[in-house]
Amino acid sequence: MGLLKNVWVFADKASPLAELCAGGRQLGEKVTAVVLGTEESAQQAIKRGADQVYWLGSKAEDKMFEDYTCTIAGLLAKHRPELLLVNASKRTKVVAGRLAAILGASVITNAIEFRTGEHNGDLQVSHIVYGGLAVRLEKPLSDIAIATVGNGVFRAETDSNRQGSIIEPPFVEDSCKLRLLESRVKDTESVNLASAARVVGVGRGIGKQEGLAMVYELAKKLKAEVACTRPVAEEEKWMSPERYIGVSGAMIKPDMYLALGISGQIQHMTGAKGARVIIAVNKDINAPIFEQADYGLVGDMYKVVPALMKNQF
Amino acid sequence: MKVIVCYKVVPEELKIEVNPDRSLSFKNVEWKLSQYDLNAVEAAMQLVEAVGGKASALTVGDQKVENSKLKKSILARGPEDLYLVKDEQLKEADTNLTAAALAGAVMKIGFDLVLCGEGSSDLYAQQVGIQLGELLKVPVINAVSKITPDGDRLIIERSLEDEIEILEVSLPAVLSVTADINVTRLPGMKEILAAGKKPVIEWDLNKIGMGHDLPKVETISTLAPEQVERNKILIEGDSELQIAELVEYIRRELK
Amino acid sequence: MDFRKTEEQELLLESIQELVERNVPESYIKECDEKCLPLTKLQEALIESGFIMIGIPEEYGGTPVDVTTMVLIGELMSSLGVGHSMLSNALQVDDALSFCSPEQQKVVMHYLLTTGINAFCLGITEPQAGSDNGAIATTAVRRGDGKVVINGHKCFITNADRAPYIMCVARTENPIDERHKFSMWLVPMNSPGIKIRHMHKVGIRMSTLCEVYLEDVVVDETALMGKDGYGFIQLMKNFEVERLIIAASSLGMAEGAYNDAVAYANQRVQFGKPIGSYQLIQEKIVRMAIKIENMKNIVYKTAWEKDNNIDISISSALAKLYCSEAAFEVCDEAMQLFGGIGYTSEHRVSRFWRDSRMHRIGGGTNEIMIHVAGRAILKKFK
Repeated sequence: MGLLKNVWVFADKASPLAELCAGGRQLGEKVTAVVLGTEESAQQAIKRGADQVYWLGSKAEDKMFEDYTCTIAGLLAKHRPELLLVNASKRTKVVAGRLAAILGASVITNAIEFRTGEHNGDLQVSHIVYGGLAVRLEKPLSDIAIATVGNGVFRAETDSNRQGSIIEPPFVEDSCKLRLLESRVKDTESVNLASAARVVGVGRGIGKQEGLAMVYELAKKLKAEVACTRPVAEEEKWMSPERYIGVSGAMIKPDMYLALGISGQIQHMTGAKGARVIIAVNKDINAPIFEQADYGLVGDMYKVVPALMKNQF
Repeated sequence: MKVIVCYKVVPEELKIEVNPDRSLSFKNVEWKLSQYDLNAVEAAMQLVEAVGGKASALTVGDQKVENSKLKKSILARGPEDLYLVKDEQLKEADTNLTAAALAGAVMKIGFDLVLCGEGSSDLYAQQVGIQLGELLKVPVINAVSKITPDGDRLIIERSLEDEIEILEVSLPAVLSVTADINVTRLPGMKEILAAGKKPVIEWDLNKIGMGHDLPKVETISTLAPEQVERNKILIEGDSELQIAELVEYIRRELK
Repeated sequence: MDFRKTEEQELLLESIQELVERNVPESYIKECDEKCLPLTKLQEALIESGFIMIGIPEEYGGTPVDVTTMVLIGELMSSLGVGHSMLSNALQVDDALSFCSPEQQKVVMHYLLTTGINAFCLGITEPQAGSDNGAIATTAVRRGDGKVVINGHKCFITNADRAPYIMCVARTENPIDERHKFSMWLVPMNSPGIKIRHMHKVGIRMSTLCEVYLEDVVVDETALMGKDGYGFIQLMKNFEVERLIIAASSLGMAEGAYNDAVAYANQRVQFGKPIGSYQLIQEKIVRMAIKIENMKNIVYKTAWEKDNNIDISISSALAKLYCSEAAFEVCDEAMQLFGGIGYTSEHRVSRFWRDSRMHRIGGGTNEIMIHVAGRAILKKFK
């Protein structure tokens, strides 16, 4: 694969930024990171793979994250990298979209794979469409291409000896401001499903929230993370939204995925089918998951889980 | 308040079929209104019912947008009228082209507020609303989970992954709303009967001052992923012996 | 011939289906059926959404619909398992509004909008007067002081314990001729002298069935509904459409049972194969499909006739007769296809079976339908 000349990366959190820097290294000769945060985070970016950092400073008290869009737009317009990688958070989607409109740049969202061709500029990006039914391969046609990238697509790396330059560009006042009146932190769990080696997933088949206790215990025994389907998190609210696997949630690539009471709908399985081994337990012999699993058992999970618990793994 | 709500006509994904060569077939597909856009329509109606004004619906695309039943369906949910930008060039328009077409139409119609869903149910790029706001050069924000009118401004609640922001937005503006901002109303008999009589204004790209905007993305292929070969070993029953069989398989794989 | 639904009909049916799916899960329907409770959640949703006003005249804030739309709604709601009571209500209310006094109309509309049910239950049948309603013996005697005294014994009265009033059919005092023998009175159910005894039904358990004893029940003369002696004549307006709604309801239940059965045939595995791969099961399914097709055709066509001012006195009887029989046969075969589980209340097919059986009796027995249609056909050929 040929490399692009210049790849820029930008994220609203350190962990995704690290992944994108690694991605930049894979795709480009030179990686530039735009960092909003402490000086230490700017230096970290270099260790993670950036050759150069535009450090915007720490986010000012009276500014919103999105207010830095015009500054970033100016930098991109001046330096014109072929590709900007952005993580896929709600905030950065706003930045990406506004940049696309300002610069006339193509946007490809939730990119899962990048290919660079023989020639410079032969960039192709794939992403999931139709709720997981298909993968679309696209070619950006504009000078600058922007891609939003989910967690886990690239694997972060560290080289503590790496050197690079940090530049502090001037702040450019944003054209359209909103006023932040208040900010409340949500009670969220910090869970990293994308890097879990083993995952136990729970679906509607669990029937009631009380059933989760035994699942957590089993997961502990298996040294696995616990996850769920979207309805369990968003509709029943029995687990936090960070734990749901699916085309609009977490995409996992574990060594083993144990699916309990999950029917196997495409929106969920798209997130889980990266697993090396899939094991499914479901009461319904016709559940689609059995066609997508390596091992399946047709039965009541309330019988199976306690029985599994009696074993050593 | 003059509110324009944007919506997209999307395929019923359950009816999309996969051909043997992994390409997709839309031959049996019915077309429907994108689910998340209905939340935007509901939000528009609640606003207009609270502070007075008018809600208009707007969509851009190829001849799909002329689907008679879908036109009635959107109008039966409250908007006073409907604007369609229909052009073959908009057939598989990327987000940039879609946003540009919407911007052209919105400027021609005039607005205080534009509402969009969080993303379309088929491609879910979550980009059009944002790009539209920037093209119109007005404040634009996504993840809006609550809108409270306050004079000539709106106080909105924004639900991010790990925090909730309360923001003040001055009009005109573009907002992209979440799926849980409201429960969409069901069109009633009266509304359904009245829908067919509401005005529908149709434009092509020339009419809104766009001629030959170039697409910014080219689609090379859309293919169903290759099926990963799975063992598909099935144990039919949960007796002690059968569960023990499963345990054996799990043990073997975890080694 | 264009057999398609209009776009408006499709949108309406989609809305109603979504309303039912959002508000009335099968588990709730099952519970109400077991405990003989009304589907309150459905009634509330129908009121909130405004759908309760379908079929009510426009002057009262309602949305009149043609008969075709009405049967489509009845079919849909019955196939979803919630029955057609919304439409029966609408027809009864429409009847009442056409002949009641303004005060009575106010009462009826108020109850419909607040509870979703009709303000009065239909007090027609008596132990000795079923098909032979000429044998009704309840009396209503004017006392001379502006009051009327009613005595009688009604039975098989639906929802007598839930409605605030009973539309009590009684013999007219001094009828002018044979055709004007009965009058109707709007009697408050909490009047002294009224006693109710519940009857336990096998199906349609979300509505109750009662015996009502009226012993020297005193009402105002203004409780008269419509004109003295015009009892059954006043009910002529909708009685044929009522038959059609029953036919549509039968069709809907058959469709519900059929859809469940065919899905099950694809799922249930015996002897290593889904049972749908066996020819005996396929035959059942095919014959059910034919009956459903026939039921649709007769219901939709008769509705079309009514909407086009064609007389449906014969065709409505044929539709009611055929659909009530065919639907029960479909539900019965569906239960057979389900095997053991079909005979339990675990699966709703047993409820479709119990409920669909009623329509061969209620709404005018099928034997009466033959009597009505048979004579009319022969007369036509003379």
